Amino acid sequence: MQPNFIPAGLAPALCLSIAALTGCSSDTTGGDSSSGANFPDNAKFISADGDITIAIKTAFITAQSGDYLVLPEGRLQITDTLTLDGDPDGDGTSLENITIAGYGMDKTILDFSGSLGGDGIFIQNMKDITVRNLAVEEAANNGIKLKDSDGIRLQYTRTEWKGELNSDNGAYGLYPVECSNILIEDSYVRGSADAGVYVGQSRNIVVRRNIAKENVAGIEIENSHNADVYNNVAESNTGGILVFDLPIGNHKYGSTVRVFNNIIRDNNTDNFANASSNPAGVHIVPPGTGVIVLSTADVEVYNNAISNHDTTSVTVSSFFIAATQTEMAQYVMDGIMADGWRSVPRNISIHDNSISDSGASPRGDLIQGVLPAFQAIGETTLPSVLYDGFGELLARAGYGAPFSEEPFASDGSENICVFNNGDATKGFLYNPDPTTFTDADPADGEPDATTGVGASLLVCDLDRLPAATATVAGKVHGCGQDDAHAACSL
Amino acid sequence: MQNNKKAAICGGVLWIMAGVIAGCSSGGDGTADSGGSTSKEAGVCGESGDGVNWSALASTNCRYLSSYRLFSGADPTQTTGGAGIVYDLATPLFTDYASKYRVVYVPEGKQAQYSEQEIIDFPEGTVITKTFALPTDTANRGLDNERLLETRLLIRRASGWVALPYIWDANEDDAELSVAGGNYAATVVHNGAQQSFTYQVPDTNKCKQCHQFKTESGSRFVPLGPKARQLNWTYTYADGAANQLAYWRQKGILFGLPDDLSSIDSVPNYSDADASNLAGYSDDQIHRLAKGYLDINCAHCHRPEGSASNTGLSLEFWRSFADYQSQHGICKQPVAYGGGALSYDIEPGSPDASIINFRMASDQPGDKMPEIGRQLVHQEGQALIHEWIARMATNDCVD
Repeated sequence: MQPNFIPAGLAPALCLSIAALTGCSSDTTGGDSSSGANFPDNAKFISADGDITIAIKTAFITAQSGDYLVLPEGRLQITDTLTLDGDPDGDGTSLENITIAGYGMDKTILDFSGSLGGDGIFIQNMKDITVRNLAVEEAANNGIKLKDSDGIRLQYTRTEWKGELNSDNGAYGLYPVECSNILIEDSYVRGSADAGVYVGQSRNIVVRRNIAKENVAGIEIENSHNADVYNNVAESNTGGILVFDLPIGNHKYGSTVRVFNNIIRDNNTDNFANASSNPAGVHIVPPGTGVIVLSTADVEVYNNAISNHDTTSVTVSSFFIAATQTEMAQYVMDGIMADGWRSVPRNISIHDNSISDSGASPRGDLIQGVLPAFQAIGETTLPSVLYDGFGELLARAGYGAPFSEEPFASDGSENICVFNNGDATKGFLYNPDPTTFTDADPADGEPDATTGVGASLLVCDLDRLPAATATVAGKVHGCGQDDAHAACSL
Repeated sequence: MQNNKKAAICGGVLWIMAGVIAGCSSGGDGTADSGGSTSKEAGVCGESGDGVNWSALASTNCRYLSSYRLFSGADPTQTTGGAGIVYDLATPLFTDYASKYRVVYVPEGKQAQYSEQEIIDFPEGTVITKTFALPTDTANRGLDNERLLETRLLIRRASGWVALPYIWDANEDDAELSVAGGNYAATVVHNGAQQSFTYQVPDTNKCKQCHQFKTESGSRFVPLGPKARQLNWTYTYADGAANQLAYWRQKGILFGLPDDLSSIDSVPNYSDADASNLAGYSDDQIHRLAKGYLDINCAHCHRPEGSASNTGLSLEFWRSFADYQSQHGICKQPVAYGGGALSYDIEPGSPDASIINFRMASDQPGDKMPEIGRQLVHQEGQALIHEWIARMATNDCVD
């Protein structure tokens, strides 16, 4: 194991991102992240004179397909949500190919601290929208929210809640939901009381070269299909990168997510989300967690550099760990499983990661019931890669039917495989092998924990997952498309 | 980009009026005229005539409301030549204790088609006006005691519905188009307590946030209020009292209406005065009142076809509560709400532990629901939902 592992070729990308933050670099993809911004001939410049909120609203309302709207330089005090609707007349035909640009993420700063609106920028019903070179600060709810849009490119964009990290900060920084073809790159998110980058209920997603720092969740892919998350830095969050599938009941469930070649480090910030008992809320994220895969199928986590996490570096879990039995039963009664949601992750591969400094101080409510099980078998802390095994055990032992969980495929294609992660420890709370199933106390409604740790556990192999792509304005983004980065060959 | 900020002091009231954008079109289906010399506007907006200016309505976003000749004067209920029919909803959407005056104009010779569940299908050319007026004191409503704020037009043009917000001038002589909306420093006395707030006229892009109906083929713009269940009650017209749906049929603007009006579902009337008597309602009455309130205040977004489809909360009046508990929020964890320390949209029997109640009781951006369209808390609406949740059989949603 290399002590100072840097994922393939990531150092230059990281430098690029940091340079973009300071606005003093040109780049290879956009060309105008700095003060030397070059705008196209058709750019429409919004004046900073007069009421800037009205000026931007007016530009949004009167926007036509192909518009390139340039927001002025400086700190702009915005007094309301800035809404862009791609189909204001509701005729089903969306505006196409609009760009909202500033002069750089530290030069065009939209300050929503005095806004009457919840979200900063809200975009819906667009076909091909680009937001670049600007910052959104202190939005009451979400920084930049996008909904029902196809073709989204967010680049050199910053969303931030400055100052002390607390639950009064907004929820999501960059937040596309119920969208498709999403590219988020070279952006910076900080201070979200939920997730910095949050892609929800969407498909065809590329998230690359971003920095997510000091959020509850750094980057979260939720109920989404076909996502690549690579070459990002997730640091000093509560949890670094999350892949979640939640029981929403709107037919939108996720799968096929690749998390690779990211730097994931020091995610030990105390959880500052509101402490509801919502099992899916990010307040459950144990501080000191690098990567969490919750309930999502077909996930590959590989070649990441995951260092210094107080609780565990990578955890894969069914929803049974997050929810009570009553809640699980309620999802069944509410028809959430019939709607397509599955609580047990399948076909998960955790491989070739560099994992170091894991488990120094496990904490968080969710860990309270888990750590003692490992201590009972002589461990001093949690394994670096932690699998709950509970859902798989239920499915394999024939108890999954009430939750619509079929037995795992006999050919092993639905297994959870953990291999080639150096000397990182690994273990499970429940041995998923059904021959180990025992239940000394049937009254408690759950089988006996068969906790195990060891290098020989969970060794198996799976087919690799396909790359995700995001098509924006006719251009295909993603590994093997517009990106030949070494990470794409891993 | 031109933008004007115009502030006027009138009677101690500060108006910050949104800039009216000369020459900016909305969606390419019309242009705002910059004003003429003899009439107020040039072109079709400036044409004189006796009746409603249908051709301008069909084609052009006029700068001045008066250019459409919808009203005989400044009274937003007195329609030109009786071309429009005033209507009212059983339970209205709350907007900062403003009074609302609604009129529908269906072009001569055309008819709207009844729909059992969705919005009545109005023909091309239809205009719906909704005028917002803020009383000095909600105890004394009526136009004589109110300040005209804005008149919103929904016009069904060939391309679909268009929303145009007009802001009234300080003298209430005319209203001017303001696509970017505007803010109004306002005060209102309600139940003896004065509340100061910023009344927001929504910009036209915000209109669609609520007024949308998603289908496979896209996101249509739809009116929200005029549904059969909201109209199926007796309204007192100048020429006598009548069921509104029957009246529309009699006036020849509605077809397809079932003969038996009692077969049509009805949202019960709920007014602010009813809040003082909540304890006097039966459980069933409270349930129907709450369902009606949530329908008009929430369900335009909180339905599978609405803006909040991603939340999993669906609150249409006709949705079976017994069959869709989770969709009503019962023991349902929030999907898209990061704030608040509460766990469930509704914790039965415990309104103060329920997110719906919390967000209705909040006036903070990011917490308050509905998230646009109000700055004040609707105390009576929140009291109704509070009572509804309190009467549910207690369930802590955990074990």
